[in-house]
Parts: sequence; structure tokens; C-alpha cells
Amino acid sequence: MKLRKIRQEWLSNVKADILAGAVVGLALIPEAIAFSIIAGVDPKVGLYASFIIAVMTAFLGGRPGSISAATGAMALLMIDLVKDHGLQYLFAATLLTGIWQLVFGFLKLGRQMKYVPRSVTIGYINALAVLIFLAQLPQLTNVPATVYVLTGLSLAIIYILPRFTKVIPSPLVALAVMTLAAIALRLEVPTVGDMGELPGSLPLFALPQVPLTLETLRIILPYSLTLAIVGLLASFLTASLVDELTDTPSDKNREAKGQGIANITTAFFGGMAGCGMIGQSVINVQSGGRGRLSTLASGLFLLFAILVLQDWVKQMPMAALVAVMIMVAIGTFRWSSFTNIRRIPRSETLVMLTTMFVTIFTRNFALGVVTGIVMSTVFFSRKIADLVLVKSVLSTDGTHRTYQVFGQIFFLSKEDFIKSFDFSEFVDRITIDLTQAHLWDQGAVEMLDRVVIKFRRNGADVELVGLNQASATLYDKLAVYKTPEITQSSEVPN
Amino acid sequence: MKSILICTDGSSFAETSYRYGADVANRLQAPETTLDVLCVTDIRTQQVISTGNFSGSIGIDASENLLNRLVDLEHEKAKLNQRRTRLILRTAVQNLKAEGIDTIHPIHKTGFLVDCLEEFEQNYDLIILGKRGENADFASGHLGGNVERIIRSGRKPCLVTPQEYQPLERVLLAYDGSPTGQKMLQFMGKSPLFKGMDIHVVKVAKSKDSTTVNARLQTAEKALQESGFNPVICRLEGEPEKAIASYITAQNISLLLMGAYGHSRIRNLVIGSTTAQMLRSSNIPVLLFR
Repeated sequence: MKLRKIRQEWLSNVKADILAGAVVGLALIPEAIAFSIIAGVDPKVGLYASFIIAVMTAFLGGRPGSISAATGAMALLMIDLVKDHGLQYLFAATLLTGIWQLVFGFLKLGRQMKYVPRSVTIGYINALAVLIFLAQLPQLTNVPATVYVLTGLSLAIIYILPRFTKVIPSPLVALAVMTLAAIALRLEVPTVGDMGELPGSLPLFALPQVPLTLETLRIILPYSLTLAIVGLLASFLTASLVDELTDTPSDKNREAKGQGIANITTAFFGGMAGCGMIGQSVINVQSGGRGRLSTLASGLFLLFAILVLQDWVKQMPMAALVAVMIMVAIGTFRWSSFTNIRRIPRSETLVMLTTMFVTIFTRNFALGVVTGIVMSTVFFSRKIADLVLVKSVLSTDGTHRTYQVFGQIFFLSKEDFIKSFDFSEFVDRITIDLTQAHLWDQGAVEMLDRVVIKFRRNGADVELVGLNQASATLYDKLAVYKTPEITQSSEVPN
Repeated sequence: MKSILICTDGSSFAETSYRYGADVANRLQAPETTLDVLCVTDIRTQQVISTGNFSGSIGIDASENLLNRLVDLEHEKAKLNQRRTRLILRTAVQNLKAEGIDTIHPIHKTGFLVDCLEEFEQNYDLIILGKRGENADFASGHLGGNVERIIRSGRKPCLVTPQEYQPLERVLLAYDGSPTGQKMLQFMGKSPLFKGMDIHVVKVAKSKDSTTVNARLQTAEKALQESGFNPVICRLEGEPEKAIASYITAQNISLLLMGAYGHSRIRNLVIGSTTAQMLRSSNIPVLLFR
């Protein structure tokens, strides 16, 4: 069984996997370089990270066919760390990030992803796209006009070429054409080589050079925790997206552990922390990649290409790279969340926008997501509280009124619940039928108590019927003014 | 033996298996014998669908567009598969009806045949499947990939049918004295399947030591005689596969009964057990027991 699964995950789609891996691997080069530049480190840090993370998650990840590497979401969180403390602290933080993720994997945190609502997910993805785009702006300010021309031409190639042929990757063609043009025309534009060192060899093992002190821990701990959470969130999102696209399940806890081990490994080989990549995974599935082999192939192609082509990569104009990243930003953004804005419930759009803008302004994905989840919870409970209905019937002789309560009664139900009873009416007996209702918390019991007290003060005998078992237990425990007539649903006379 | 399951994929092997299935069912003659036909659409054919897009470029709402495109492609493909399967099952039912079988249930599943069979087989007393399937035209010396795995993992008697049909007249029991061998003898005694067939029993002796072999053959003979057969008993020497194969040709045998596994567990792990080799080389149906 296990062997069959392994074979299925690795070998069910060999040819298409390798082909897709090649497309993705080559597309990873500009991204890895761009994300290194966002983080403020040499391109080789991102390239090594992408190679190692892709290869490790191919074997250990929980979602075959998804692509993990150095990412923008993670790079954005590292900027201050690198600026204030330097590269070695980044490696140490990456190591700790991996350890956190491994722990989260063992704690089965993957299951808790269900608490992230869809509108928060979309807000997160939109924020990611916007931040990737914003991160390109420094490359487009205070530069010669030629840069704009090159960026524009690259974008034109990227988007127009696929209309003619889908056999060759258009971003790659754009990069190649722009590089050749820049060399041939001796254009004075910033190139990748200006941004820092490229890998000259296979990654080498090295321990992060940081003092092993509490002070170091104090510096890297907050960064690593945010990195771990954001990395897992992005990886889970990527996994869900690939689940949806390929109509196959994934193992989220295995994914968390896989990400953890990948990040631990990358820390020892001079790479930065990474996570699942939404855009690249879409490209992978689009190109036919489904199995683990596609992820492995992408990592191997990436390293092979960078080692063979590095003289060319050095002379690649940044403008072309920026164009590729703009494509990734546009492809990642969920435009439909805005074009369909009229059809989506307003509260959900509000959650999406809040998540998005909180993330964009704080540059902290964890904060944005938490805000979104809190908002969704509040909105949801308010909606549930609205679904309470109270019907009342007066007996023919006018002495006995029966209230029938439907819905979920909890702390939020307060105002509306009490308002639906008419305390000014003079009747001898009041029956409150709770067969179709459920009392959830202290707030609910307290409210019911108040209703009972109020009716009693007005001189009516109050009877509660139809409490279901859970509600009755709660009521018995908490109610102050228990009425002796309380009966349970099983004993309700019609 | 009350219920029979025929596994089909619409190949020429499968069509022969219908005739054998009908043959067996008719011989059993019990009115309550049911014949089910299972066609499993291999899930792999459905899942990996190429959009043929290697542009590596993603546009507006990339993932949603890709999802829609994949859903459309897979929908089309699944529709075709379903239509094809329905056709296969209809042909199977027609073939079987023509042979005089009335109670036939066609079953359609998606997944892997081996996995599906695991849950199905407990309801059946006999599984019938063609020696090879859809991709039979290449590598004709081999067994179908599914067959190999089914005969290894299955627990029920399994009739593996060849490409050509020939009426069941002479049956050969490859007897080795093992518990499985005893089970086969019991089965032959009880089942009406073998009424009117010539029964041959062979035991292949590897060594010259013949006393145990003879004793075993005698028990077999006795058991069969008690059940009212008049078996031909023969002791062969040499490589089991070759000896049995040449006996089959010489005596014009039309059905071979044998245990699905030999004695050696470890040998079974390696492809190339006697069973697999017999299945590969013979062109008559083989009824495998466990």
C-alpha cells in the first residue's frame, strides 16, 4: 500500500512532471533573485534556498506537485533583521523557523487551517500580490528611461508570446531577449550582477555564525516565529490551491514537517527561509506537473541552469526581472474578489479588504490574518444571533400565552431576545417552549433567567418546556431562578 | 459457488472471458448463480490532463482560470470514459445474454482495479479476468500489470482466461499435496463445474525420490474417485513449468487448476514464481486457488 502510494506520487506522470519542473525551475531563477533583493541579501542566498527547499519538499512535503522555494512573503519579513543584524542572523532565524514549523507539524496544526475563512485567505493572497508589486518599485524609481522601455517590452513579450506559442516559457524568452539586447546595445541599466553575488558552486555546509547567547535568541525569536507562521500559512494555502486544482488530497501536517526540515536544511547551506509558492504552483499545474518529481525537477533545473548560465544571468537587466515579478503579482492577485464585489456578501468583502490592507500597511501577514479571523468570527456570530425567532400564541380564553423560541441563544442574542417577549400583557400562565432552541453559554442562561423573573414580577406563572439535554444541563447548573416546572424535551406534551 | 465476478476492460481478452464466464455459469446450473461484470475506469487516465501550456506565464485570475480549464478538460474526458465504459458493459451483458445467462449486474467504478477488487472480492466466489488487458498488444510475453497484482493480493479463486476460447473438456490439476492442493480436490469433488470433463492429475517430482510423490498422487486419486471421477494420474519429472506445459500440449488440456502460490513465500515476492510463469506461457484458462 505504502509502496504503491510512493510510486503513484513519484512515477505516475514522469514525462509531464519533468517538463513542468523545467518550466518552473527556470521561472524560479528570476523570482529567487528578486526575493533575495527584497530581503536585502545576495542573489545566491535566495537561489540556494530555492534549490534546497524545492528538493527537500519534493521528498518530505505533504502536497505532491506544489512548489516551495524562497518567497516574497518570507522575504518581506526578513528586511529589518538583515538590515539591523546581518546575514548570519538570518540563517540562525531560518534555522529556528524550521524548528518551529517542525514542532507545529507534530502538534498537527494543519488541522486548524479550517479556522481561516475564505475571505481572509483571499485578502492574504491579494496582500501578497500587492506587496510583491510594491517591492518592485525601488527598481523603477530614479532609473534611466531605458529601464521603463525594457520593462514594458518584457511585459509585452510575457503576455503576447503565449498567444502565438505555448511551447516555450514566455518569461524566459523575455529575459533572454532583454539580456541579449542589453549586451548587444551596451545599455547602461542596472543588472543582476550589480545586486550581489551569484552562486559559483553547489551550496556548502556551514553553521550560522552567531554567538550562542540569549541575546541572539531574543533577536531571532520574534522573527522566526512570524516567519514560521507565515510560511506555514502560505504553504497550506498553496497546498489547498493545488488540492483544488488537481482534485486530490494533501497531508497538511506532513507539509508542515516538510517545510520545517527544508528550512532547517537551508539554514545550514546558506539559504534564506522559504515556503509554498502560490504563483509557481499554479504555473507547475498549468504546465502539467502533478507528482513529486515535478518539484524535484524544478529544484535541480534551477541549480543546473544557474551554474551553467551564471555569466549570462549576471548581465540580465533588472528591468526584465521586474517585469517577471509584475507578472507574478498580477497572476497571484484575485481580481475576481473585486470584479464580483456585488455578488459577495458585504461583510466578507470587508474582511477581505481589512486583511489585505492591514497586511500591506504592517507588512506582517500574521497580523493581517489574525485581524481577518477575528472580524469573520464577530460577523458570523452576529449573523447566527439574528437567526433567532420567537413566535407567540395566546390561548382562546386569554389566560395562557405560549412563546416558541427557534435558534441559537448565546451572549450576542441579548437585546433582540428580550425584546421579543411582551411583558406588559397580563396573563396567568406563560409557557416558553425551547424545543427548537439551544442555549450555548452563561449569557443565554442569564437572559432566560431575566425573562422568567420579569414575567414572574408581572404575576404570571412561567413554565419552560422542551430544553434539549445540553441546554438543560447548562440551565440547571447556572440558572438562579429555576422554575420547578422545568421539563425536558422528551416529556413535552405535544 | 454462487456468485461470479468478471473484470473487463473491453479488450479482446475480456471478450473471451465473457464466454468462459458464461460457460462456467451454465455448468454450475444453479438458478441462484449470479454473474456480475465489473469495469473499472483507471483513475490515472482521468487525473493527469495536460493543458499543453508550457508558457510559464500567468495572467489575471490565473488560478481560477486554470481551475475552470482543468475542470472542463477532466469533465470531457470523464464523460468519454463513462460512455466508453457503458458501451463495454453493454457489450458484456449482450454477450452473456446470448450465452443464456439471465442475471447479470454490470458494475462501474473509478479507481484502481486492484483496490476496487479488494473490497469487492469478499462478495464473490470466483473472479474471472482476462490474462491481459487494454495494452495487450505490446510485450505479448508478459502478464497484464493488473493481473499480476490481483492474483497476488486476491483471496478468492481466480480464473485467468486466454485470448482464444476453446470449450472446457479436459481439466488438469497440478497437484503438489499442499493445503491448497487439498482445497482444490475438495472443490473438484463438490462443484458441478467439472461434471463430464476428463480429469488429469499431475505431480511434478524434482528428485528421484518417488515414494512420497506416489503416495500423494494416490490420495488425490482416491479422493477424486470417491467423488465419482475417473482421473488420469501422471507423475512428471523436471522443471515444473516445462513439464506441465508439455503435458498440456500433449494431452490437449483445456483448463488448468493450480495453487496461486508455491511453497516458498520468498519466491513469491520475486516475479517469476511457477504460477506467473505458467500464466504467461499457457494459452488455456488457468483456475488459481489460494
